[in-house]
Amino acid sequence: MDMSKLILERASVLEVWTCVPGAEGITIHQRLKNEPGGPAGHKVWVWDSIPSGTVIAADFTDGIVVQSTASLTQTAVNAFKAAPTHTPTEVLTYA
Amino acid sequence: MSSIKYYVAENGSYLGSWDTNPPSGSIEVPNPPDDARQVWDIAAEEWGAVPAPEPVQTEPVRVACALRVPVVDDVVQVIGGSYRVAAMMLMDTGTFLAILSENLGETAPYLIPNNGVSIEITEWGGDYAMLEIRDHAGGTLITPASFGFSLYSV
Repeated sequence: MDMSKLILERASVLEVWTCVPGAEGITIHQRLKNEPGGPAGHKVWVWDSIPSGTVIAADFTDGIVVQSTASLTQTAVNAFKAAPTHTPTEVLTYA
Repeated sequence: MSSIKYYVAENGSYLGSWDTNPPSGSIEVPNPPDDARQVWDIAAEEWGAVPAPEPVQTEPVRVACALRVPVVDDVVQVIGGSYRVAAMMLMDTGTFLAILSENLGETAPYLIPNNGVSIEITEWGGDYAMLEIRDHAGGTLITPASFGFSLYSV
């Protein structure tokens, strides 16, 4: 069963989530709902898989922009996963 | 001026009130019951106690589950057999955070582990649950190679 890997930053702490595909938007909004200003506008990364190892940093500059609702964010996530503009190794830093 | 009278059946169960033509075979009593389920004690000439409510028996309902969660190198690999578990992450040794796809309310459901470990909900937020896994109840926090659980509401 394929899973998604979701990388987000919450309260300056990097989190790497294993997500059921299609549930990334829900997860993103749940984790970021208490962030200052809410989830919208934050950036995240989602891939079908990432290299194994401990991720210690991520460059979110070109990340997926979180939208106003989980549903809209899911659409953005799906679009990115269909045609990724960056690979994990380009933007993730491992220990 | 009508004169309402109250009647019970031969077995003492309350029939109702009539001013004329009560049911055949009914027995007049001096006053109606407080509760229609009360039965008239013909010998003692008084109403019996209000019956205790029937106990409500509801079957437990599985509201969420993740039946197979393998963990490799401190990373959740798969959320297999998932129902309403959207995402999981290992926070610390034996401590996992699960995000649910729906808010299941303020009351934490019962958690039944699938294998021999002990899993306890230590924080419940309706749409998330912090889980602690121990080698046995009250034992040491462990990160098992694989685990699974179901959440039940009753």
